[in-house]
Parts: sequence; structure tokens; C-alpha cells
Amino acid sequence: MNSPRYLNLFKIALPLPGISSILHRISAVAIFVLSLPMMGILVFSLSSKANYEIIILLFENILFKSLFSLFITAIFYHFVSGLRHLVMDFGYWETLRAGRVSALATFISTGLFFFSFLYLTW
Amino acid sequence: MVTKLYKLKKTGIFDYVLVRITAVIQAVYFSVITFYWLVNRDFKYEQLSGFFDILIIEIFTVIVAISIAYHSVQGIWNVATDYLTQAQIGASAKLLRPAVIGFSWFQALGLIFCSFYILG
Repeated sequence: MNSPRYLNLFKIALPLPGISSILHRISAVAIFVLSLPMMGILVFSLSSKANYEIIILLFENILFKSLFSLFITAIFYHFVSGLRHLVMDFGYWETLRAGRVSALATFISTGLFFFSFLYLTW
Repeated sequence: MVTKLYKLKKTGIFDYVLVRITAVIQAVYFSVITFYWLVNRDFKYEQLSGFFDILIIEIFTVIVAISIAYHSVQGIWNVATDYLTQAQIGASAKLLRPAVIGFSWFQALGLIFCSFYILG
């Protein structure tokens, strides 16, 4: 009776690879929600020089710039984490130790990317 | 061949492989974009529109849009059928799950439409 009926992700302590995996999904949903608006912005900015200047002004907005930075970081995390999943699909990095190390590597590389992105754009 | 593909489709192997292939296509495309951005960062409108006038970039923009469309429809289906179930969120799942999956199709078609719009 004490056994859980289903896995509640908020009630169990996830190991590092588990956190990496769930963040892969969360970043996926974030990218999914933002992809069409961002594509719209790209199409709009390419349509004419005047529209491009409007988009440049949009990037001056601190709120939009933050959102865009988070969007790019989410894409990078999804990219790195996806590469990790792809390596595991081919049968490597499947031990507990390798799983932990590679999960940690995705976090560290995303952190490095985030700060270097901020350094280059802000 | 057709029956073979049909069988692959039924077992989900076709989807499994295609999700990975579309992922690799996107990985290559966005690596190229990032490299381009790193090489010339302070680009003006002429450079940006010139970049998207390169034939190979135009072709791959459409291919990548189709890849993202397929990848996201599959991915959102996975997430939606995992979390938007009656066991997880109750009766609202009956309405919410088809709505989210339907929206993913709308989003996917929108992305492909936009990629053709970039071609000019």
C-alpha cells in the first residue's frame, strides 16, 4: 500500500542523469513554444531593410533579449544532451559512472556556453 | 519494400530512426549557423539576407524546417502521452492532450511555411 502508484517527478530525488533527461524534455518544450515566434521574427527581419531595423530595436529590449538568450541556451542544452543520448543509442556511456559524468558534462558545457554567449552579446 | 516500411512504421523503429536523423541534420545546420555568426558577428542586413540567398543554405533551411517539424511532432507526442494522461492530471487530459498534439501539428506546418517564405 505504501508503494507509489505512479512516479511523481516532484516527490522523488532524481539522480544526475535523471535531471539531465528531464531538462532535455523541459528545454524541448521551451524550444517548441518559442520556435514559431522566433521563425516569424527571422522571416520578418529578412523581408526588408526597414523591418530588419525594427528587429534590431526589438533586441534592445532587455526582456526580449533575456528571453532570446534563454531560448538559445535551451537550444544548446537540447543539442548537447541530444548528442549524449545519441552516443548512448550506439551503446556507449551506459555505465552508471559514465552516465553521471556525461550528465555533469552537459550541465557544465551549457553553463560555459551561457556565460560566453552573454559575454559576446551583452 | 512498401510492406517492409509499413512494418517498420508499425513497430516504431521508423520513427525512432527518423527522429535521430532529423536531430543530426539540425545539429549540423545550427553548428554552421553558429560558426557563421562567430566569424562575422556584427553583420548588417545585407550580410544576413546575403547568407540566406546562398543556394545550399536555402535548400538546407527548408530541409531543417521539415526536420524540426517532424522532430517536434514526435517529441511533443512523447511528452504529451507521458504527462497529459488521466492518471497524471485527471479528466482534463481528454481535452488537453489532443489540443497540445494538434497545436504541435499547427506549429510544424507553420515552420515549413515560413521556411518557404524565406526563399523569397
